[in-house]
Amino acid sequence: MSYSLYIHIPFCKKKCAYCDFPSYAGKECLIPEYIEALKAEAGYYASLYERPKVKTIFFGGGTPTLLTEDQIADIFDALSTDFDIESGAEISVEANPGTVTRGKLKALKKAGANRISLGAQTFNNKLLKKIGRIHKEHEIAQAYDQIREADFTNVNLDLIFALPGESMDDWRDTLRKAVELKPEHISTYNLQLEEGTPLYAEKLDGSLILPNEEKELKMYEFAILYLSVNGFSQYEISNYSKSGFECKHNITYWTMQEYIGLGSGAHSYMNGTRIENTADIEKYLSKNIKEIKSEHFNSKKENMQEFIFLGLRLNRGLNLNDFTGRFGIGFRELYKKEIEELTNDGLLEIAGKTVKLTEKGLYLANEVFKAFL
Amino acid sequence: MADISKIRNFSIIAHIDHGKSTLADRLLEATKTIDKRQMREQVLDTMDLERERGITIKSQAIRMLYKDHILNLIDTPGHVDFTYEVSRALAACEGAILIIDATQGAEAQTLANANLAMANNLKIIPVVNKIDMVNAEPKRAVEEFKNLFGFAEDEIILASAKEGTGVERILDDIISNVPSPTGDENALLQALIFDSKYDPYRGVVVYVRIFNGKIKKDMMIKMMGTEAEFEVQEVGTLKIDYVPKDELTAGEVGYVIANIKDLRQSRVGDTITNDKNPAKGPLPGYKPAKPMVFCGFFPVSAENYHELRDAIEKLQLNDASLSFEPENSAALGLGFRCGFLGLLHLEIIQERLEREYGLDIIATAPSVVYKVNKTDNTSVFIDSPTKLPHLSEVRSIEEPYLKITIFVPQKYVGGVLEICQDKRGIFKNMEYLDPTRVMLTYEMPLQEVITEFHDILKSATKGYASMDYELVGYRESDLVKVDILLNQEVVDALSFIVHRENAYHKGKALTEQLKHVIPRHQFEIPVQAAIGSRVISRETIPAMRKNVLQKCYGGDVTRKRKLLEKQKAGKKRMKRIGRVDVPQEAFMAVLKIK
Repeated sequence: MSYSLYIHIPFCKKKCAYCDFPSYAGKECLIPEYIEALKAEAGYYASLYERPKVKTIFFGGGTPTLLTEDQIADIFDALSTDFDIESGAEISVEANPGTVTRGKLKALKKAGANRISLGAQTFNNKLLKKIGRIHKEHEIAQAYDQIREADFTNVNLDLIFALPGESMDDWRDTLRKAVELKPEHISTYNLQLEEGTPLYAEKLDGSLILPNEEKELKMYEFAILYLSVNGFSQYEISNYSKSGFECKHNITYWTMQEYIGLGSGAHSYMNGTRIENTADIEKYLSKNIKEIKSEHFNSKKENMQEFIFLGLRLNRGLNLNDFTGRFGIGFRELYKKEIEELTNDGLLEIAGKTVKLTEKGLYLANEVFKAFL
Repeated sequence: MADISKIRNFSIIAHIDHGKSTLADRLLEATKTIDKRQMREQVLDTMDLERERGITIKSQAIRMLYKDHILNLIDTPGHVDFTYEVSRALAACEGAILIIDATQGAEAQTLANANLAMANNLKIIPVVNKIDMVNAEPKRAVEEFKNLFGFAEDEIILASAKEGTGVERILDDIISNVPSPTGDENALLQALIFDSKYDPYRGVVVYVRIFNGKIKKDMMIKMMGTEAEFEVQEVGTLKIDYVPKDELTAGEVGYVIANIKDLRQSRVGDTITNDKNPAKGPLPGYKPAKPMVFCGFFPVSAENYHELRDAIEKLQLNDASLSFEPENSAALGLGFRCGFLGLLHLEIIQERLEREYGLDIIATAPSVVYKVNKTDNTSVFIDSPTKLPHLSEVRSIEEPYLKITIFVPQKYVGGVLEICQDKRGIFKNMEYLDPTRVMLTYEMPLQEVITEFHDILKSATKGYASMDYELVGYRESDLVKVDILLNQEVVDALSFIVHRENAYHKGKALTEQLKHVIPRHQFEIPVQAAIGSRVISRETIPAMRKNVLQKCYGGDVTRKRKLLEKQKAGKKRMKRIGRVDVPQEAFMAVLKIK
């Protein structure tokens, strides 16, 4: 058995206006202590699963590139002691254009990282400012060049669309500039206003001008079309890549394979149990495993539901044999009524041994997922 | 046996929020009827809903002892829907404390309640309350007592129920000014039922005032109105709890328990007499409860039909004025057509069904009872638009009219006149209460009053207007039924009857409103209003085009799941009509249209 490993770095120079992730600005002084706690948690899993085999690693945040070169090396050393990292494992690191340096990239590469996910978000300075990013447009290309100089051959750009005040032209411009950089992978996310964020407050205020549903749809449709014309095929609701560069780590989530999450706010899925680490950094520093984790043992039904709504996110769809193999019952017989309704409405299609969303179903994916809950 | 000359039976009457319950609390404390420590605020209001809404829904009675006298305080419901109940409670008294709030002045219900008390020949003790408040104007309230009701200045008591000021004088005035009851304990039994409630352990508890004769355990009694007969198990007086006694005699107030299973057998206003040796006739004033406002209650999911039935039956145990019968709607399935005394009564029942019984229900828009005169010269009364006979059979339609009294500061009169005109009001009278306040009298269709009239009136007058009304009879109106079609299908539960002149406007407003409250579906939904087969307005709910969670990785699974579940739960609470999920608000939308 080989697992995926997620490491959460919950520190940021500044919190973005849309972000409700467990990340904090102004707590950087805790980083050294946090790394010790991370190492302790890695040690816990190392002994629990006897130095488990790992096939992918993903450093997310927060801002992993806030770490110093020494800190990067320190964490990687600990990981290779505690885990049996497969040769050729995909090792991704999220990077912020405002915090990467040649030195850090070099340190990451040396430590074994082989994929960088750069948080570009948009190539429009006005919009970058509106959503509270710390970088400017020209810093994206600068960072990108440095990444290539450091010999990374697998790079992703994260983009957000339907930003406050964003026009269709703005979005086309962002997509064009992203493609021109020639990354191997692009993710596009429709802006989601989450409760408790500054943008959400502005929306409640009524002071936020947002694209309507129709315009969001046009932006999404355009992204799919434009990226496919440029050789990026969509393989998941929000993800596009050149052939062979699909993110292996994220595919483990959508196919419901097991993964271990380290760090505050990180999640794991092991032995049918969803485990959530406390998002409270100070509490996480206690290193008290019992205190920092809350567990939910999924029922068979929950596992089936999640397997469906995660699997259907992938363009290739869900393999019916996989479903039967996993749950000992056929998908078709279990959801006869739902399948009939969804296929009649043109949202779902079954071809051979796979079931997947239609194009209409892709835009209305939640309607499909809900039917199985 | 009680000495009749030492009994005083009285009520407290006031406009809502003028401090009735607080004064009752102070009287109970001053007479040491209950310990101050065990005192819950406003003990007489026992239901949560009453406390929240600040009104007393069901009345109760309590016996106090003070300076060698028995003082029976009979509480009255404080809302216009319950006028009949108030009048019966007052009929059980010889006196009433009439409160005017010094910060508000006399209001519509002050006048209405005072009129009821005078109609029952009660001795009124005028009290100006809340004189401790910084914005109190006791002088003005005193003037109103003098001008409206002709009191002399020295009769009027200045009080603050909150601080206890004036409470002793009120008690003393009750003893010295309210007459003791008259009646003969040796005459044939006549006891007035002024309230009754269902106690899950003891069955129906009937609250009575004995006018003549006596009532005791083991006696066979008869309700003169309903002719039901019972054997008395227990009689007694009330002191928060039941205090059993050997007998109740003429002039006394207390309770009777007689193995009565159904509240409808002990109607408010009915007379209890001795079954073996009955009185010649009942006490005057009995009227069977007559619902004025009707609406349909439907379970959101059909499987809860029986639960809903049980819940309504249980509520009816304690509320004889609530009526119901099964109703079958093509759109909403099986439910119940329920009758209420008024809109507030309706809202209370709906809220109790949802809150106390945890039921998800859809309430259709309230309707009055129309009288339909048919071409064959017969007439029918209909309590639902769906029961309207085919147009070819209808000669004319009559609707109930109210006489409505509005108290309003002079500067808002213009706005109120406009509202009343919009609501098809017929101007009757305008009278100055003092240089700044006016009393308006209108006649108006009840249907207009139950569609947000009160809210509109309040907002147009910054809350300063108060109103009261009474039914004056049926009048012919040019009325039509407007149907609503969702996705080409008539939704019977959304049909409404309206004056022809307003049909187009209301049809348009309702379709717009429905477009707003019905969520987008995967297909386009036309929403139409029609009179007969003629469509008078149309809106379209566009198809939903996009609903997709974009970002979903390892840490998001549980969160996304919750989000999807929440969306799904929202949908489950809607009613599926054809292929359209309709939220509960849609059925009340007809009320919101101006």
